[in-house]
Amino acid sequence: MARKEVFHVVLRDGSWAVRRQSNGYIWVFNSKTDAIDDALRRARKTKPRAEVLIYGTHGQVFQKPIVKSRFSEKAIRDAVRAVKSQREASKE
Amino acid sequence: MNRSSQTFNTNVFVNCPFDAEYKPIFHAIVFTIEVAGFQTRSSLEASNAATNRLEKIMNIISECKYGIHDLSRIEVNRRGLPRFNMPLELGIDLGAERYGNSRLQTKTLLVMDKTPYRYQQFVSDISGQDVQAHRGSVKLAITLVRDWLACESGRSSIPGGNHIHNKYRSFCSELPVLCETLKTTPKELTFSDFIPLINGWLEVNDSEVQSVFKLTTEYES
Repeated sequence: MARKEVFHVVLRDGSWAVRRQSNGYIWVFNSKTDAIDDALRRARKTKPRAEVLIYGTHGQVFQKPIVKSRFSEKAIRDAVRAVKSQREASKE
Repeated sequence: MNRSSQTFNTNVFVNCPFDAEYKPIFHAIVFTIEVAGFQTRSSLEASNAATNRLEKIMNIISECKYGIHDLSRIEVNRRGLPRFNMPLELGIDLGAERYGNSRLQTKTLLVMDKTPYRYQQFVSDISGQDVQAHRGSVKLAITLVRDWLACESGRSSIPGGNHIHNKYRSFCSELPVLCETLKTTPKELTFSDFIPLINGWLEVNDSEVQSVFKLTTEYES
Protein backbone atom coordinates (compact mmCIF):
# COMPACT_ATOMS: atom_id res chain seq x y z
CA MET A 1 0.00 0.00 0.00
CA ALA A 2 1.30 3.45 -0.92
CA ARG A 3 2.35 5.65 1.99
CA LYS A 4 -0.05 8.48 2.73
CA GLU A 5 1.21 11.82 1.45
CA VAL A 6 1.72 14.64 3.96
CA PHE A 7 1.89 18.39 3.30
CA HIS A 8 3.66 20.37 6.01
CA VAL A 9 2.87 24.07 6.54
CA VAL A 10 6.14 25.36 7.98
CA LEU A 11 8.02 28.57 8.69
CA ARG A 12 11.04 28.69 6.39
CA ASP A 13 13.54 31.54 6.24
CA GLY A 14 10.96 33.97 7.62
CA SER A 15 8.22 32.97 5.13
CA TRP A 16 5.47 30.41 5.36
CA ALA A 17 5.85 27.47 3.04
CA VAL A 18 4.21 24.18 2.08
CA ARG A 19 6.55 21.19 1.96
CA ARG A 20 5.51 17.97 0.27
CA GLN A 21 6.90 15.11 2.33
CA SER A 22 7.45 12.55 -0.46
CA ASN A 23 9.70 14.61 -2.72
CA GLY A 24 10.63 17.63 -0.57
CA TYR A 25 9.11 20.16 -3.01
CA ILE A 26 8.51 23.54 -1.40
CA TRP A 27 6.09 26.34 -2.25
CA VAL A 28 6.58 29.68 -0.49
CA PHE A 29 3.75 32.13 0.37
CA ASN A 30 3.31 35.65 1.70
CA SER A 31 1.14 34.58 4.63
CA LYS A 32 0.43 31.51 6.68
CA THR A 33 -3.23 31.68 5.65
CA ASP A 34 -2.26 31.35 1.97
CA ALA A 35 0.08 28.48 2.79
CA ILE A 36 -2.67 26.62 4.69
CA ASP A 37 -5.13 27.11 1.81
CA ASP A 38 -2.59 25.80 -0.68
CA ALA A 39 -1.75 22.77 1.47
CA LEU A 40 -5.44 21.93 1.91
CA ARG A 41 -6.05 22.24 -1.85
CA ARG A 42 -3.09 19.99 -2.66
CA ALA A 43 -4.21 17.48 -0.03
CA ARG A 44 -7.72 17.34 -1.55
CA LYS A 45 -6.29 16.74 -5.05
CA THR A 46 -3.95 13.96 -3.91
CA LYS A 47 -5.25 10.37 -4.10
CA PRO A 48 -5.63 8.92 -1.54
CA ARG A 49 -6.35 12.19 0.24
CA ALA A 50 -3.20 13.55 1.87
CA GLU A 51 -2.77 14.81 5.41
CA VAL A 52 -1.92 18.43 6.29
CA LEU A 53 0.28 19.19 9.29
CA ILE A 54 0.33 22.80 10.45
CA TYR A 55 3.34 23.97 12.45
CA GLY A 56 3.71 26.88 14.84
CA THR A 57 6.37 29.55 14.72
CA HIS A 58 8.40 27.61 17.29
CA GLY A 59 8.31 24.41 15.20
CA GLN A 60 5.62 22.67 17.23
CA VAL A 61 2.96 20.70 15.30
CA PHE A 62 -0.62 21.63 16.12
CA GLN A 63 -2.46 18.37 16.76
CA LYS A 64 -5.80 17.57 15.17
CA PRO A 65 -8.46 17.42 17.91
CA ILE A 66 -9.78 13.97 18.79
CA VAL A 67 -13.11 15.39 19.99
CA LYS A 68 -15.89 16.07 17.48
CA SER A 69 -17.14 19.65 17.44
CA ARG A 70 -20.51 20.87 16.22
CA PHE A 71 -18.52 23.36 14.08
CA SER A 72 -16.71 22.14 10.97
CA GLU A 73 -13.00 22.86 10.51
CA LYS A 74 -13.91 25.15 7.63
CA ALA A 75 -16.47 27.11 9.67
CA ILE A 76 -13.91 27.69 12.44
CA ARG A 77 -11.19 28.65 9.96
CA ASP A 78 -13.53 31.11 8.20
CA ALA A 79 -14.61 32.65 11.51
CA VAL A 80 -11.02 33.06 12.72
CA ARG A 81 -10.03 34.70 9.45
CA ALA A 82 -13.04 37.03 9.50
CA VAL A 83 -12.13 38.17 13.03
CA LYS A 84 -8.50 38.63 12.01
CA SER A 85 -9.54 40.75 9.01
CA GLN A 86 -11.77 42.87 11.29
CA ARG A 87 -8.89 43.36 13.71
CA GLU A 88 -6.46 44.36 10.96
CA ALA A 89 -9.02 46.72 9.40
CA SER A 90 -9.59 48.43 12.77
CA LYS A 91 -5.82 48.97 13.15
CA GLU A 92 -5.58 50.82 9.80
CA MET B 1 -5.90 0.64 16.98
CA ASN B 2 -7.92 3.87 17.12
CA ARG B 3 -6.44 7.33 16.56
CA SER B 4 -6.41 8.30 20.23
CA SER B 5 -4.27 5.24 21.03
CA GLN B 6 -1.83 6.10 18.25
CA THR B 7 -1.36 9.55 19.76
CA PHE B 8 -0.44 8.26 23.25
CA ASN B 9 2.80 10.28 23.33
CA THR B 10 1.00 13.58 22.66
CA ASN B 11 -2.15 13.04 24.76
CA VAL B 12 -2.50 14.98 28.01
CA PHE B 13 -5.25 13.99 30.43
CA VAL B 14 -6.59 16.96 32.42
CA ASN B 15 -8.30 16.16 35.72
CA CYS B 16 -9.47 19.38 37.32
CA PRO B 17 -12.59 21.16 38.59
CA PHE B 18 -15.09 22.23 35.93
CA ASP B 19 -16.95 24.91 37.90
CA ALA B 20 -17.32 28.52 36.71
CA GLU B 21 -14.78 29.86 39.20
CA TYR B 22 -12.07 27.50 37.96
CA LYS B 23 -12.94 27.87 34.25
CA PRO B 24 -10.29 30.53 33.39
CA ILE B 25 -7.54 28.26 34.77
CA PHE B 26 -8.98 25.20 33.01
CA HIS B 27 -9.14 27.09 29.71
CA ALA B 28 -5.58 28.39 30.22
CA ILE B 29 -4.29 24.84 30.85
CA VAL B 30 -6.06 23.56 27.72
CA PHE B 31 -4.70 26.47 25.68
CA THR B 32 -1.13 25.80 26.91
CA ILE B 33 -1.38 22.12 26.00
CA GLU B 34 -2.62 22.93 22.49
CA VAL B 35 -0.02 25.68 21.91
CA ALA B 36 2.69 23.24 22.93
CA GLY B 37 1.54 20.82 20.22
CA PHE B 38 -0.13 18.25 22.49
CA GLN B 39 -3.75 17.06 22.66
CA THR B 40 -6.02 17.71 25.61
CA ARG B 41 -8.09 14.81 26.88
CA SER B 42 -10.66 15.14 29.62
CA SER B 43 -13.57 13.34 31.20
CA LEU B 44 -15.71 16.07 29.56
CA GLU B 45 -15.34 14.27 26.23
CA ALA B 46 -16.87 11.13 27.74
CA SER B 47 -20.44 11.81 26.66
CA ASN B 48 -21.37 8.40 25.29
CA ALA B 49 -24.23 7.29 27.54
CA ALA B 50 -23.83 3.68 26.41
CA THR B 51 -20.64 3.20 28.44
CA ASN B 52 -20.05 3.45 32.17
CA ARG B 53 -18.55 6.87 33.03
CA LEU B 54 -15.64 5.53 35.10
CA GLU B 55 -14.89 3.02 32.33
CA LYS B 56 -14.70 5.90 29.84
CA ILE B 57 -12.40 7.90 32.11
CA MET B 58 -10.12 4.88 32.59
CA ASN B 59 -10.00 4.41 28.79
CA ILE B 60 -8.99 8.04 28.32
CA ILE B 61 -6.32 7.77 31.05
CA SER B 62 -4.90 4.66 29.35
CA GLU B 63 -4.56 6.64 26.09
CA CYS B 64 -2.55 9.48 27.67
CA LYS B 65 1.16 9.59 28.43
CA TYR B 66 0.77 12.83 30.38
CA GLY B 67 -1.63 13.60 33.22
CA ILE B 68 -2.42 16.91 34.92
CA HIS B 69 -4.27 16.64 38.21
CA ASP B 70 -5.47 19.72 40.04
CA LEU B 71 -6.68 19.06 43.58
CA SER B 72 -7.91 22.64 44.13
CA ARG B 73 -11.48 21.74 45.04
CA ILE B 74 -11.57 20.08 48.42
CA GLU B 75 -14.11 22.43 49.94
CA VAL B 76 -17.27 20.81 51.24
CA ASN B 77 -20.53 21.46 49.45
CA ARG B 78 -23.86 22.60 50.97
CA ARG B 79 -24.41 19.10 52.31
CA GLY B 80 -21.04 19.17 54.08
CA LEU B 81 -19.39 16.69 51.69
CA PRO B 82 -16.23 17.20 49.59
CA ARG B 83 -15.91 16.09 45.94
CA PHE B 84 -13.66 13.04 45.61
CA ASN B 85 -13.63 12.72 41.80
CA MET B 86 -10.27 14.41 41.34
CA PRO B 87 -8.32 12.41 43.96
CA LEU B 88 -9.99 9.26 42.56
CA GLU B 89 -8.82 10.01 39.00
CA LEU B 90 -5.34 10.86 40.31
CA GLY B 91 -5.30 7.47 42.04
CA ILE B 92 -6.33 5.70 38.82
CA ASP B 93 -3.55 7.49 36.91
CA LEU B 94 -0.95 6.64 39.59
CA GLY B 95 -2.14 3.03 39.51
CA ALA B 96 -1.89 2.90 35.71
CA GLU B 97 1.68 4.17 35.89
CA ARG B 98 2.58 1.68 38.65
CA TYR B 99 0.78 -1.48 37.52
CA GLY B 100 0.08 -0.88 33.81
CA ASN B 101 1.87 -2.34 30.78
CA SER B 102 5.28 -1.10 29.64
CA ARG B 103 3.70 1.77 27.72
CA LEU B 104 1.67 2.97 30.70
CA GLN B 105 4.73 2.81 32.92
CA THR B 106 6.18 5.69 30.87
CA LYS B 107 3.36 7.93 32.12
CA THR B 108 4.28 11.20 33.76
CA LEU B 109 2.07 13.30 36.05
CA LEU B 110 1.80 16.90 37.18
CA VAL B 111 -0.11 17.35 40.44
CA MET B 112 -1.26 20.87 41.30
CA ASP B 113 -3.09 22.50 44.15
CA LYS B 114 -4.22 26.03 44.88
CA THR B 115 -1.86 26.63 47.81
CA PRO B 116 1.46 25.00 48.67
CA TYR B 117 1.53 22.09 51.16
CA ARG B 118 -2.27 22.15 51.68
CA TYR B 119 -2.53 18.68 50.11
CA GLN B 120 -0.59 17.27 53.07
CA GLN B 121 -3.71 17.81 55.17
CA PHE B 122 -6.10 15.84 52.96
CA VAL B 123 -3.97 13.43 50.86
CA SER B 124 -0.84 13.05 52.94
CA ASP B 125 0.03 9.81 51.12
CA ILE B 126 1.22 11.83 48.10
CA SER B 127 3.63 13.85 50.21
CA GLY B 128 6.51 12.26 48.30
CA GLN B 129 5.19 13.74 45.04
CA ASP B 130 6.27 17.17 43.84
CA VAL B 131 2.93 19.01 44.10
CA GLN B 132 2.93 22.45 42.46
CA ALA B 133 0.84 25.42 43.63
CA HIS B 134 -0.76 27.72 41.03
CA ARG B 135 -2.28 30.02 43.71
CA GLY B 136 -5.36 30.52 41.55
CA SER B 137 -3.31 32.47 38.98
CA VAL B 138 -3.86 31.86 35.26
CA LYS B 139 -0.33 32.98 34.44
CA LEU B 140 1.27 30.71 37.03
CA ALA B 141 -0.84 27.75 35.90
CA ILE B 142 0.29 28.33 32.29
CA THR B 143 3.94 28.51 33.34
CA LEU B 144 3.70 25.36 35.48
CA VAL B 145 2.06 23.33 32.71
CA ARG B 146 4.39 24.70 30.02
CA ASP B 147 7.58 24.05 32.02
CA TRP B 148 6.44 20.57 32.99
CA LEU B 149 5.56 19.60 29.39
CA ALA B 150 8.84 21.02 28.07
CA CYS B 151 10.84 19.18 30.74
CA GLU B 152 9.05 15.82 30.48
CA SER B 153 8.79 15.71 26.68
CA GLY B 154 12.27 17.13 26.04
CA ARG B 155 10.82 19.25 23.26
CA SER B 156 12.60 22.52 22.55
CA SER B 157 9.78 23.74 20.29
CA ILE B 158 7.45 24.78 23.14
CA PRO B 159 7.13 28.57 23.47
CA GLY B 160 7.87 30.23 26.83
CA GLY B 161 5.27 30.84 29.54
CA ASN B 162 5.08 34.61 28.93
CA HIS B 163 4.54 34.11 25.21
CA ILE B 164 1.76 31.58 25.84
CA HIS B 165 0.13 33.88 28.41
CA ASN B 166 0.10 36.78 25.93
CA LYS B 167 -1.37 34.50 23.29
CA TYR B 168 -4.01 33.30 25.71
CA ARG B 169 -5.00 36.90 26.52
CA SER B 170 -5.28 37.66 22.80
CA PHE B 171 -7.38 34.56 22.28
CA CYS B 172 -9.68 35.46 25.19
CA SER B 173 -10.14 39.00 23.93
CA GLU B 174 -11.21 37.68 20.51
CA LEU B 175 -13.30 34.79 21.79
CA PRO B 176 -16.60 36.73 22.15
CA VAL B 177 -16.34 38.03 18.54
CA LEU B 178 -15.30 34.61 17.31
CA CYS B 179 -18.32 33.06 19.02
CA GLU B 180 -20.59 35.72 17.59
CA THR B 181 -19.34 34.85 14.08
CA LEU B 182 -20.16 31.20 14.83
CA LYS B 183 -23.59 32.20 16.19
CA THR B 184 -22.88 31.13 19.73
CA THR B 185 -21.52 32.57 23.00
CA PRO B 186 -18.42 31.69 25.06
CA LYS B 187 -20.68 30.29 27.79
CA GLU B 188 -22.35 27.90 25.33
CA LEU B 189 -19.04 26.40 24.16
CA THR B 190 -18.58 22.79 25.16
CA PHE B 191 -15.19 21.14 25.64
CA SER B 192 -15.59 19.58 22.17
CA ASP B 193 -16.15 23.02 20.64
CA PHE B 194 -13.44 24.78 22.60
CA ILE B 195 -10.50 22.59 21.50
CA PRO B 196 -11.03 22.92 17.70
CA LEU B 197 -11.62 26.65 18.24
CA ILE B 198 -8.22 27.04 19.94
CA ASN B 199 -6.59 25.00 17.17
CA GLY B 200 -8.27 27.02 14.43
CA TRP B 201 -7.25 30.26 16.12
CA LEU B 202 -3.65 29.13 16.63
CA GLU B 203 -3.25 28.00 13.02
CA VAL B 204 -3.76 31.58 11.86
CA ASN B 205 -2.65 33.67 14.83
CA ASP B 206 0.55 32.14 16.09
CA SER B 207 2.91 34.24 14.00
CA GLU B 208 2.88 37.33 16.17
CA VAL B 209 1.64 38.47 19.57
CA GLN B 210 -1.32 40.77 19.15
CA SER B 211 -1.96 43.67 21.47
CA VAL B 212 -4.82 43.07 23.85
CA PHE B 213 -7.50 45.72 23.50
CA LYS B 214 -10.10 44.48 25.88
CA LEU B 215 -10.10 41.77 28.50
CA THR B 216 -13.19 40.29 29.98
CA THR B 217 -12.85 40.10 33.75
CA GLU B 218 -13.61 36.37 33.62
CA TYR B 219 -10.22 35.65 32.04
CA GLU B 220 -8.06 38.15 33.88
CA SER B 221 -5.36 36.52 35.94
